[in-house]
Amino acid sequence: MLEAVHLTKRYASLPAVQDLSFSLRPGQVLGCLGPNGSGKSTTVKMLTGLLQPTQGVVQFDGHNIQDNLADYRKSLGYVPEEPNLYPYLTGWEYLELIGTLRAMAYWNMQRKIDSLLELFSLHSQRHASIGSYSKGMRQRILLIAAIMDDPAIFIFDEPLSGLDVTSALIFKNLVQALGQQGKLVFYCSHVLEVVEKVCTDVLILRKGVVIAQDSVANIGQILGQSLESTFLHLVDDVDTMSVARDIVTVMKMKAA
Amino acid sequence: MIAELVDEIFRRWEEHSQRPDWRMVGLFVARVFRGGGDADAEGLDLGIGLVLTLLALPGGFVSILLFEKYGTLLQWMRGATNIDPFASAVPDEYFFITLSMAVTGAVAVWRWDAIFPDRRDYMNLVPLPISTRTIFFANLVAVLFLVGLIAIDVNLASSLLFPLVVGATQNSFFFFLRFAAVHTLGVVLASVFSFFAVFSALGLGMAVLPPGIFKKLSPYVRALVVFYLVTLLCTSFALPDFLRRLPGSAPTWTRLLPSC
Repeated sequence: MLEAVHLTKRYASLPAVQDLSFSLRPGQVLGCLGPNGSGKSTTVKMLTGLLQPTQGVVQFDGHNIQDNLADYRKSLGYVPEEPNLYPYLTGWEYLELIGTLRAMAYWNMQRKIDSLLELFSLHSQRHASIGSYSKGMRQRILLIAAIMDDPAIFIFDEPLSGLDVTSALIFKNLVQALGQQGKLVFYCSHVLEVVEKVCTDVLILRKGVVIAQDSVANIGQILGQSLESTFLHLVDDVDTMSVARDIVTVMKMKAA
Repeated sequence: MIAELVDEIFRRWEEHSQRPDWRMVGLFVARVFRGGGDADAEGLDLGIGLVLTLLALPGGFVSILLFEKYGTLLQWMRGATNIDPFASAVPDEYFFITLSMAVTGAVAVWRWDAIFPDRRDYMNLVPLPISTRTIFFANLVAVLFLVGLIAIDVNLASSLLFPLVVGATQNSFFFFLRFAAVHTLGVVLASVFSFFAVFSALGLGMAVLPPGIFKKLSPYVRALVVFYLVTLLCTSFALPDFLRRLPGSAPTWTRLLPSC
């Protein structure tokens, strides 16, 4: 089980995340929602061990992850928001590099890379340099890199950015399948519809504080609305239609 | 027998190359030649072989041009029959030292952004099950390997050709060996010094200055280093003679010049 226990992160005394606690059980797909600046990325960085919390701990199976980060990261598959890969490596070389650095057995790694490239429709471009890949192709390479060592925990930070419709559909089904396989999945996204579809539970953040945490079904039932309406209600009580109308009005303003 | 030996060597090499630490050293070496910083995504990819060839060329060309100075026939035609090869090689030795420093320093300045791990390495390597210490040592080994490779590559041609040119008038092979050893040591150490001088300036800047200020100052520091190296190289033809004619002890500014 992955647990965040009273996590707080401050940047030069400004709090990015305050007293965040939740637990992630095997088979649970926890969606993390929040507007820009709500602390989602900071939370992801603390969960992956890229950032140390100012207060609180992240525990995996009862152990503080900071005590043995290398061991914890062996159980972690992480897909960052930005596919910042090495442009001079080919897709195959990059995956081989990641597999080697994850100490995967050589032949098992080769077989998995080959099969996953085929399944993610990248096999024909496997020997082309990543510099020539589109954003969606790079994102798919990151997804393969995250899943190929069969880790226990998955942390996805906006994984659908740049993916085409088919790949996005495959990915959504993959996330659900991972949950059914007993994996722990933390899914950070702006796309409410995807979170509603693939996640079992949801965590809503605003200004670094948890404002709602429950199963997707329960959160909607609380207000008797869809997740989108609930999210807007909880996070920003903004009349989005009115704001859109005002933007068009300003756009059409003529010089006096 | 030979086939078995080759297979064994190949198998061992495969095993070593699949070790995470060596794979990471390979990654850091490759990034220096094939791109490091974010700006290099669309950058010029010359390939390792071509880069090494280009770096080796100046020393070779200059050595060949010096045949004219040391050729026995031309010396005889000039009326110079009793020449001390060591004394006449001093200005050329100074030139080779400055050339070695300039070329190696230029490489270090050119790949300034790719010597240390950057944001891309952070994003790709830190979430993996490898310790920060392993990343640091892999980068250190890669830098040391590169210094050795560049120092040998830049000076290889001149280390063979220049002693041959100078020793053409001598009958002793021992002269060639002695001259080649001292020349090679001098120019290789000059290369190593030049690389580490730039490397230290870069490391010090990164350690002392905030990232934003370092990024702004970086092009100016690089320009200053290039200016110094080019000045050193351009004045290397005239400087030894000028220094020889100076009366009394050497002035303070000569401390800025390489010496051996």
